[in-house]
Amino acid sequence: MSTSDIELINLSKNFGASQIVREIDLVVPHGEFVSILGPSGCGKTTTLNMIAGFIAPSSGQIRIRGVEQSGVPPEKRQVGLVFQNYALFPHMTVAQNVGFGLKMQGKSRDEVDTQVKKALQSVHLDGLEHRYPKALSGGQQQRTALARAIAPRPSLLLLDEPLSNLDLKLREAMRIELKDVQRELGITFVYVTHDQEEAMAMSDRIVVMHEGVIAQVGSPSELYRAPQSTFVADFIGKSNIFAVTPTANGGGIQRVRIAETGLELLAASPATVSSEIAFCSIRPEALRWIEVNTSTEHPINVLPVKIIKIVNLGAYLEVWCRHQSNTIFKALISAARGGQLAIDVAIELTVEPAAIKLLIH
Amino acid sequence: MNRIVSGLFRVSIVLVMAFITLPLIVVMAASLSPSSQVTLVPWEWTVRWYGDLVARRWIDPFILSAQIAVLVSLISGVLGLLAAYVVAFEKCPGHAAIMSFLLSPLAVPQIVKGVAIVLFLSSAGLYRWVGTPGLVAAHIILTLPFAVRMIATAMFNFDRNLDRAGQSLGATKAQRIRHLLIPIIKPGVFSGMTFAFIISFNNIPLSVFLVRPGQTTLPITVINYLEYSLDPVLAAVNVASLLFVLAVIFVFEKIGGFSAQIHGGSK
Repeated sequence: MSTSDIELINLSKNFGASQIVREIDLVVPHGEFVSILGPSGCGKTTTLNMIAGFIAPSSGQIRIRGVEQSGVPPEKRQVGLVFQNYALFPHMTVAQNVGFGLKMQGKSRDEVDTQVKKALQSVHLDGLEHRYPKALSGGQQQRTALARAIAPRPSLLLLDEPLSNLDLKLREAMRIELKDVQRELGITFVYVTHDQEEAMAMSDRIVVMHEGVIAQVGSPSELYRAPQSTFVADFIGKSNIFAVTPTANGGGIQRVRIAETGLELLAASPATVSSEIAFCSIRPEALRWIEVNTSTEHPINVLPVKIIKIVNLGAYLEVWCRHQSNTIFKALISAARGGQLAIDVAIELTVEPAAIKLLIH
Repeated sequence: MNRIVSGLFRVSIVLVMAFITLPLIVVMAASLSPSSQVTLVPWEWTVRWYGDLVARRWIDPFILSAQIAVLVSLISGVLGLLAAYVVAFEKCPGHAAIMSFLLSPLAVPQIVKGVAIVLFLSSAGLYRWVGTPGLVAAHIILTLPFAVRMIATAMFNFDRNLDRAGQSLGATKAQRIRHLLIPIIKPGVFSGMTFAFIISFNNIPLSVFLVRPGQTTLPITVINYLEYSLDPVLAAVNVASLLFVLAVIFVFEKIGGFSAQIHGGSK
């Protein structure tokens, strides 16, 4: 008996000549909150629909709770589903919507009522049992959809961009609630989204998909700290990404030259063979502003730059700086410190060698 | 400028509504006329023509027409639902062609259809079908395209994610059809059935070929009567059948709730 809720083995899907999903392997243990994250067209929704059973894989296997699912129709998979547009039944009240799954299973009326009450409590919707969906706000509809999916107590819940129709404030509140519900009920969540903040905020593990393949799998902090490709570095958070050529290696330091500029940076030496390095990625917050006259240290990677643009993000300023080599760096500087910064002001930036990620692709 | 446009808009709405309702008002006024000629004398009126409607010459055709219309409406609803399900929901192979075929009777003039049906029945040795069975069958040919169209539109508008949601909640296909599809497209079914009822109840061009002597539908009885006399009792017949049709529409709407579909709302 396997303890993993989902196993995808070499899973592929073609529509005609185009390969939407290519040879995906993934194991999701029971109780995990895993997000499938990627831009639209990356194959994430197709993958979800294959797990739910609405799309048959072209090749490969799907196992749910250890059982191979080919030929098993969606209604037999016992997999809950939450849709982007909620898909509430318009002719049924909230209670009837939430009780639908249990009623279809032939549960007694008492049992249905008890489970409906429980499900509504866990999403904080008590008291709205007799409303019709159209008399609910977007957030309430979303909770109803969630309650409906969890009422039959599936061990596994698939969520397809469930928050993308809500406004920002509500979306942020619902992230926390979704995570709470998932933890309380101990259900495995497979959460499909294109919103990296959402994935970062809730997930135990994120699967980044790009053009039908898995680009990287890891915890949110792993993906942020150690992206393995420029795609992940760019998609998860923000990054300054440059094409580079390696120049010299020694003493735990890898020197790289940013292409077509002559600007050389010192990075911590990676485990990979140095000749394959083709890109480097620097997080905006890793670029430190050296305020004049305060420095007694002698930092390396000192970059004299001129400010060309300042984007105010509230607590932080995103400062666009141009090095004399015409390289543009975007640095994140706290608004409290950056008060006197202005366009055309010359400043010095620095970056720790360890904060420069060297990438092969 | 805007006020002129909105003024013109209001005036044109009033004109269109007058254009639609004036004939009805004239018929109503004529049905109350005391003279035995059809005249309009607004300050004198009587309801005695309505008293004449109780006679068997009007009641029997009315009952026949109503029976036929109810049968036609029910059968069109059931057949329309089945056809629309296969064509519009399951999208069977060749569904577009089948849909066109189902709608094709709309393109054939009713007179031509009437002649064709009579020729078919007599050459197939089924002349005894002339009368109620023939009328019901012929009316269904006429009403089915409307019913299929209305029900298919409702099915096209049905959100497939609802079906998928039902599936993910463990509902079998039969359960999904019964608890999700049918209740949600019900307004479409009832609007199709209402169309079928009205078309059948008022039909002349097909019925004229298929009625038996002494067993005629109401519109044919009116036509026959009109050949020999033109008096206010005809206006009274028209008003009475208009009220009956309105009552039927009201009842269908109460059961089916299709005005919500027409106006774009829902309960």
